[in-house]
Amino acid sequence: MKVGKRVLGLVAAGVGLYVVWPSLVEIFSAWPRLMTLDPWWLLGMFVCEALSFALLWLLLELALHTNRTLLVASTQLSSNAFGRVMPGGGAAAAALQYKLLVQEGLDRSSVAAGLAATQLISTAVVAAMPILSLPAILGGATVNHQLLVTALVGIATFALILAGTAVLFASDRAVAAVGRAGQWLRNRIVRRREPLRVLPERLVAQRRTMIETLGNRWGLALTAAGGRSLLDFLALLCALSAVGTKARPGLVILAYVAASLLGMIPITPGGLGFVEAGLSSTLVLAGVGAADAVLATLAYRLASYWLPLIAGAFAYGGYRASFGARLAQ
Amino acid sequence: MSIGLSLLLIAAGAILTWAVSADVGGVDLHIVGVILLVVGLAGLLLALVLTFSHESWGPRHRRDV
Repeated sequence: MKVGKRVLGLVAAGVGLYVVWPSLVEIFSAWPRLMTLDPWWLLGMFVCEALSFALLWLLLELALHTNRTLLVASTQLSSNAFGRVMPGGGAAAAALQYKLLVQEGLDRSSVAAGLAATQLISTAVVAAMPILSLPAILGGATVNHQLLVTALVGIATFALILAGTAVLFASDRAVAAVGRAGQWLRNRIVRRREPLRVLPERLVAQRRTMIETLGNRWGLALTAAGGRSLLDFLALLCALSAVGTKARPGLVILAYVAASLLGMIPITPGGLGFVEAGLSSTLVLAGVGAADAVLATLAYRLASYWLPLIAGAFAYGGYRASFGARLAQ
Repeated sequence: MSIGLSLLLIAAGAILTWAVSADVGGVDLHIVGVILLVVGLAGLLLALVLTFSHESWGPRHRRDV
């Protein structure tokens, strides 16, 4: 069954890459032009991206209730890199991060709840970003239909997450009811496996851990999550400035949200190809010239995708050297 | 400088750099924006270094080996 799923995942990734291959080639063929970009704005882009990662580590520390920065950073970078080379990477990355953190002695339920809380807050913040583009839209900016749809999808996702969070924080009974419904549905659909029996109880336990985990530090957690997305977005604006083009930031936000949503589609590793194609075309819709959009996308993905991938390999080596050796002892 | 204040400076700098196109006599708003951005980024870096190096929240879950 597992092998079948993997083969299916690889086939889906292959087909996905085949579909976006022409866009990917077009974007990578702009590689030599990277040398022509403004170095100061490129430096700004890398600084923004690095600080964005640092804020994610802060958010993880808050959610995991630990201050072992080295452990949090190395496991996040390692799992992030792993998720970017595996099809369906998000789930694989979360599983690896969970395993590495638990191996180092962090409490299993705290890690599960902490990682879930981090994912929930991060997704909610990205989904809420189209709200920032409302002034530009209401101010009379001509907005392409596809970008408008992106804005509406983002705001709808944000509303759904908000409603889900409200249920989560409301009471044990509400969470248990959701768990019972999910358990019933899963047992009806997947009949071959052993039926779930304790999902409501598990969800209630995770809810309590999550509330206890963030507790009165939710303000700082929200600041870290918001800051992370803000800096990642600023990295894209720096990339556009490095290219020497100017677009309305209110509309670039929509292109950024569209790219973030595309990156969550688990077809190719890390949304490779889909993000490049989606971001460059949505930047064009936001008013950036086609050639500039391709170059800015390449520069932005260099900082947000490729360099963290390399850093992840080193981080995993660091994790093995620092923590793996102690585990072996 | 706190993380929140640094982010506020960064956001203000970003707005002046990329979103404002007004002309104010004798003041280059884009330069002001870039300065705010740089100060905000430096402040955030400092705030994060201080935060990561302090035990400012919660009990430690450090494993004693």
